[in-house]
Amino acid sequence: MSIYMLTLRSLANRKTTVLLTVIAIAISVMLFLGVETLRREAKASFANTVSGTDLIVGARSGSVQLLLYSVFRIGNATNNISWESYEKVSKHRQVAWTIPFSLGDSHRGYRVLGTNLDYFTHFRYGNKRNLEFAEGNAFDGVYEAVLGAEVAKKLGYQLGQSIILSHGTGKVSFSDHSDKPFVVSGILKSTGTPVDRTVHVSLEGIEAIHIGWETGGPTGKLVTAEEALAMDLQPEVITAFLVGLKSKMATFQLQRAINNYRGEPLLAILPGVALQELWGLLAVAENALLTISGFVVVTGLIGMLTVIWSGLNERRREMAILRSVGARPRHIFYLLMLESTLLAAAGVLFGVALLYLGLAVAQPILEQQVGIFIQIRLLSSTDLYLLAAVLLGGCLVGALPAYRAYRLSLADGMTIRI
Amino acid sequence: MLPGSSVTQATSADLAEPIVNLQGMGFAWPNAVRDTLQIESLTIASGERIFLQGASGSGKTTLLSLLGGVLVPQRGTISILGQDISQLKSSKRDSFRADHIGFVFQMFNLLPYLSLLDNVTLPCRFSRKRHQKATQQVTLDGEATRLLEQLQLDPKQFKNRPVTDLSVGQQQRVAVARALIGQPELIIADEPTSALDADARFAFLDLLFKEVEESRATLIFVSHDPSLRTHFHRTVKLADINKAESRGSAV
Repeated sequence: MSIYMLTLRSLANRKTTVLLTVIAIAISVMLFLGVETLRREAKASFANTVSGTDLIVGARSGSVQLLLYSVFRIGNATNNISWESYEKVSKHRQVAWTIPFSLGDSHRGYRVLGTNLDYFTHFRYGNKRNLEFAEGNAFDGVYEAVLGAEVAKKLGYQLGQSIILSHGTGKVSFSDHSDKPFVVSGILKSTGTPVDRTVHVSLEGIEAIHIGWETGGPTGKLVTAEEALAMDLQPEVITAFLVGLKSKMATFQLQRAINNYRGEPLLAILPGVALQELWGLLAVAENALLTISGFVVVTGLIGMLTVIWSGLNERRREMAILRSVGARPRHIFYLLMLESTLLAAAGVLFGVALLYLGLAVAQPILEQQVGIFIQIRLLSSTDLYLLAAVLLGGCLVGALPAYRAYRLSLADGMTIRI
Repeated sequence: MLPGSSVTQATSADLAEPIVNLQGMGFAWPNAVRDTLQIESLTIASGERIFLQGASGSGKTTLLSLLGGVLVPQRGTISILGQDISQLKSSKRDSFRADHIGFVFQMFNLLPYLSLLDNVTLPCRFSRKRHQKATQQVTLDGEATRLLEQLQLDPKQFKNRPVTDLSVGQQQRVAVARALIGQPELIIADEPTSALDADARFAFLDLLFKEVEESRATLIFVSHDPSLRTHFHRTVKLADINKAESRGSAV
């Protein structure tokens, strides 16, 4: 019925208040969906980081900690494990492959990972995808490095570029391994995982730059890059290693064997289980965030209620006029219901627009700062349910002033009260 | 066929045909000790111009609400165009009002967020009957423009300006156009001139009468100002017909 044009005109007449109300709802909706999206994408991003690995082995600590420093390059190892233990596990009859990790150095804020060529054959991410080279090849010599996609892109590195590794993992390092520069031999394709932010070198390369650094600084007997090549570069310790098994059946058996290993305190974890443990830890914070953002939506809707409610009194005249030309009290109810529904709907639409804008802005920042890759996708069914809930909430909230207006117009009739 | 259509045709021929007929009507507000209005008989013939005189607080507004079907009497009948509206359901009373009665109030008659023309055509949004009547020869906006021009307002002049820019006198004329659009049989004007100065008051009355006559409507004009009553066919003093009033004022 064309009387609903009246609502539109009436809203248009109150542009400023209407706009502010819509913005308040939109921001709350954006926050609500944003938290939900971040939560989901962070999980997806983490879950995509490693696949096909049956066990992660490191020095005994917490399983979440091991998972974080080994795969996500977050935090540091408390201790190293001996090469001997690594050799022992890798020779186990159930083990198909292993990938050793040696962490602790960095290049301009990006972590350096010492590993071997097995990394490029066996490491899997996402849906069991192999690493691929965008340019060049895996490292061959001791002083060669393979860059993750983001490292190359952000620092503008090309093949053949000479880079200097720094001791420690801080953004700014005061002790550089400047005497032994590395040459970029290959650049990997983007994976959307921490691999993109990693500089890969051989274990021998890590060993070579640390000759004379046994105490944590260049205090021992230092050698030149060429001299180092002639020395025994077999590492004595590594940080962690990934294990792929011939049969999944053996997973728990081997895990138990490693955890009970007598040579040194080791910890073997199942990546999936450790991830679940991590989610368990984060669930409290997650739920708190979601609850808070839910309340922000409620606040937005209460703001709308306040605006409509406080406008009711001055609109009694308008209602009396409408009644005099034949509007039923029911019409008055509908008009106000429509008003709040339109405001809520506009808020939802505007909020979704803000969400995508926000995600587009936050995506590169999050990837760079936190290492979480957020994929921008269409709204999920959960999102749509949330939006429907907000809209329904808007309708319900709108029913309050609508009912009051209905009562007022019944009582006032055509009497113009000012 | 609705009773309204036959009455319109009979207007000039038969003045005795009552358009408003109140019999034994009594109304009390909820929780009130005694009746606010008690009218034994009030008959208004079709085409009449009635001056309904009453001091403020005498129940004028209540009577208008009863005539408009917003309120329902506890006793008696209120017939308009032969239809006892107190027997109708509230939604039917609302559409009956939309179809057959045009109102003009004291002031603040217009919806500030509607354009001049939309204010005039407002009743046609609620009454298909009036919409049909208004659009018999021209478009709805054309009819609104015609009415406004007859009331000496140029709609083009106010096309892009809010109606709140209009002077009080202009606003009252817009309200008359709104009351008249779609030719309702009954026009009820509640103190429409009280916000106008003396000159504007008589000019307004002249225009009102001319238009009411042209659309062959019946006019009930409510005012406390006796100086206007010589312009009307008949004066009804609310104090004379309301039996509840005398007792009420004695308290």
